[in-house]
Amino acid sequence: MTKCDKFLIILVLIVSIISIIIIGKATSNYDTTYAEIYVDGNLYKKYSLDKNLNEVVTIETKHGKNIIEIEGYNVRMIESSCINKLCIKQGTIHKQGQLIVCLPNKVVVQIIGKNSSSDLDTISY
Amino acid sequence: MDRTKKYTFLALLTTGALALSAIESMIPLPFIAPGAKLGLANMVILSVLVVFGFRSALYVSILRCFLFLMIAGNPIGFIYSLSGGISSVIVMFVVFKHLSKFFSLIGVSVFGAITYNTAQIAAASIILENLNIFTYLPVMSIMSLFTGCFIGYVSIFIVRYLKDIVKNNKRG
Repeated sequence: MTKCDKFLIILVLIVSIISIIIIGKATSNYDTTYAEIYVDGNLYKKYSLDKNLNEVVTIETKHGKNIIEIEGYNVRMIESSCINKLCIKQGTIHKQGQLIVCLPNKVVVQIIGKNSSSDLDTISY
Repeated sequence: MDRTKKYTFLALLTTGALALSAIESMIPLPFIAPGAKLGLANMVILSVLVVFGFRSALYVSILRCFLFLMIAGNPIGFIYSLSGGISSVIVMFVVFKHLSKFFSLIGVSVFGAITYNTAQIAAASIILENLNIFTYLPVMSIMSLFTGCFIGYVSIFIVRYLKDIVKNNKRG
């Protein structure tokens, strides 16, 4: 292993960790969150997440069948007709920016956050 | 090594890469990000790139994707592995040809792994028409650091033996 190899590895590691932190920061602190379900790149349904919400969404397209469960703020894929079931293994999502992707069936579930009050966190003089 | 021998050898190596991808799909990995895998087939492709050159590596890579499509029967996965395979061979070739003064095979392999993941995610975002998939990229690149180092380290040994075999064949 040469010096440049080590430099490359450390560089990639640092850049990745920084971007994970930035993504994590950008995806927190929201009042309301929405679950958006996309099929084939088009918005299929949108739910405003609420703790009393209890919904089971069944999507049947020519690509396959998916069943998504929305329970309170948590969204998860409970059934899918795809081969590898990666979408089910992605577990429960609840934070803004998190996704569940089912590539074979072209289904994407993502959580969108919105601030209802104001766009400013604090104002200092 | 004459042409027939070379093609036979490349066919054998393609079969090796194919067998490695088949074995890899049976190894259970902890779920980190969708599509994260070991990339064992890259071991063969990197060795072919070093020993036989760019064109052979590209052929082996494309053939492996086609044949694996027939084994796995997953056309969507085929698009991702093809886009990743082609672009990673190109990047590995450029790095190996022009930057091998600085990088050993480990560095070349890390470059290849990162390119593979980036191309795969780009293909996924085009197909799903969703740019948010790129948020998986940092996690995937950390994964590809580990697999890339491992694959590169193994390739160093494979290349040593392959070169011996090719040389001996020339003499006999």
